[in-house]
Amino acid sequence: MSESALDRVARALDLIPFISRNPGLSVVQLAERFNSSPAQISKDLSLLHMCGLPGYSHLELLDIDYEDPNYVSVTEAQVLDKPRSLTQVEAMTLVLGLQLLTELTSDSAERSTITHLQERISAKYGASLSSHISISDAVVESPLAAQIALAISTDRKINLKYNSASSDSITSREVFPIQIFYGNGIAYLRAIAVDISLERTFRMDRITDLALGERAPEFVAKLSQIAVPEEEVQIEISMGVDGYFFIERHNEIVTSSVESEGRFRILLSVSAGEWLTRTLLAWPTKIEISEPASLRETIQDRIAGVLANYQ
Amino acid sequence: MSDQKTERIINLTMALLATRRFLSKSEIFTSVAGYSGTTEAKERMFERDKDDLRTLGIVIEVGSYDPLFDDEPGYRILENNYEFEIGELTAQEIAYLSLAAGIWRNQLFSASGSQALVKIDALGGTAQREDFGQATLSLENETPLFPSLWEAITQSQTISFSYRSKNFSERKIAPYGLTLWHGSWYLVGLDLAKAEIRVFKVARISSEINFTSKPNSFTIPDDFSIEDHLIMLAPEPETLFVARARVGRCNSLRSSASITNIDGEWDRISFHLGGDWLEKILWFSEDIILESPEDRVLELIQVLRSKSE
Repeated sequence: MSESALDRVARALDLIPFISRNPGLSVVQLAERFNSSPAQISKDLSLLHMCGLPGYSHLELLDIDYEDPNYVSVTEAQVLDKPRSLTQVEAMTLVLGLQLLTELTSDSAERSTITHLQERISAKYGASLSSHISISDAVVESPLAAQIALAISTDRKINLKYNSASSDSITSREVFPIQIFYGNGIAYLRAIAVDISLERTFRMDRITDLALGERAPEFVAKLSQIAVPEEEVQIEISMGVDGYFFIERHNEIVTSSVESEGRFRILLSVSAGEWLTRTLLAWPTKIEISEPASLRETIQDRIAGVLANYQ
Repeated sequence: MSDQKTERIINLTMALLATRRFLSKSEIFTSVAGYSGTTEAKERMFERDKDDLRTLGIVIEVGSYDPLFDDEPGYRILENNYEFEIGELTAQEIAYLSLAAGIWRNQLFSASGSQALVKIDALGGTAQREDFGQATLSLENETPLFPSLWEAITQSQTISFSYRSKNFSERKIAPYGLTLWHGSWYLVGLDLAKAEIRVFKVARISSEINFTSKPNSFTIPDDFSIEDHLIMLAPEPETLFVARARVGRCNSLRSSASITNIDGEWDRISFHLGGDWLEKILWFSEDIILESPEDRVLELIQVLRSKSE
């Protein structure tokens, strides 16, 4: 793919200060960091080698050592020794990322350092950032995030009480936490359920109680061996115009969808079970289940059962 | 872009950065390597190069080159505008910045995050990365419209797009701002047809963004604040519900309900729910029997009948 015309100038201007501060990287490593190819980076370096300040004698040119492609360094960066200013989108990326970090730390000193950094970036790039962008509720904050982050970084197990939506039951679990991630603004915990040695995902706002357990570094070694076991089934449903909102809400299980004359035909790939049954049952309009027939029957039985409650 | 042009723009950037006083065009043409041809050709090259630098976000200051003859403009780039400079940073702070840049999994922001990371690493060397529980942040799957929207907002250009709510509709908007709320981007702007400020979920924009005016074609009112218009922040009206709930079930309703026991099988619970009450009740299927308000009970039964075959 050919790169946009100015991308090359931008990369060239960014290469010099980067190499100045990080001497000794190889051309291949530089290509990785700059999301480019080694051949392209080599071309950039030889081009930069010809650039410099007016006069263009050896005293005014950039001086880059790249004869050995395994060890690139800059001996004279001229005026390009400092990195270029952030773009608005980069600044916003940082401000948002910092905001998330404040949520992940419980240490008040750490928190204030991060907040202060956020303020410094906003002060420099803030004019349009603050008037055009609001990110104060970017994610649903979880009061447990900091404690879980601490458990992850110290390889500790966690004992938690979990209110499972699909089974509608509160259970105690011992888990080894792997990662916190945010999907559609909601915080989730990926962890290994210790009793079954299987990976599970927990919505953090459904964890009702949490206590740090013992250190269990042996799990770190086991991580790569733990497979995701759940089998997914293919389901075909059809529904009316609100199918669009169904797809938006459940995009992570939708594999394809077709819209025709106000109706949506949607294919899902999901582990069959209580969660799916309830999701389809609870949707406020009628969802027709084309496949599998067994799921259609399960849901019809359930509806009949609920209606019987009101006879 | 030819090597020649790339080289010329880099040389121009370096020359304008190195100078303290403003450089006139003729000085640039004689001293900066790469400008050749007739005066007109050089002028055209220079105009294009300036545009290119602006596109890269590099601010060229235009000022008087000679205080006695202020009709000839001069050019320079201020270090302060060019450099990523937010004061001295400790190793710890650089580590936080690296983490903040690397937390993104989403496509657009992981690109801007890794670009920012290169700049951060050019501040202090490859920083030691602390472990924050390997958090990652993923927003909507894609936000391909973000760059166009951002451009329209910062350039004050009106736009049009088709928008999906219950139906498709064509909207013409003066875009004022964006907000990231609970993982999704929303556009706030003046709906030109309705003459009202409206909020649009970016993911529901189903076309490209068409620019329908030149830059600087509207001004955002001084008292405008994005937060004032975020309908999702307004408290939703809630209704009090009373229901029988099977003992040990309906756990997420119970956490904010008042509960009295009826017998070994049932409790009576009362709780408040907003606009999504129907889904919340249906979720617990046979484990809940709604008792009041009566109109909601009737609505629930009607929905269940429509869903049954």
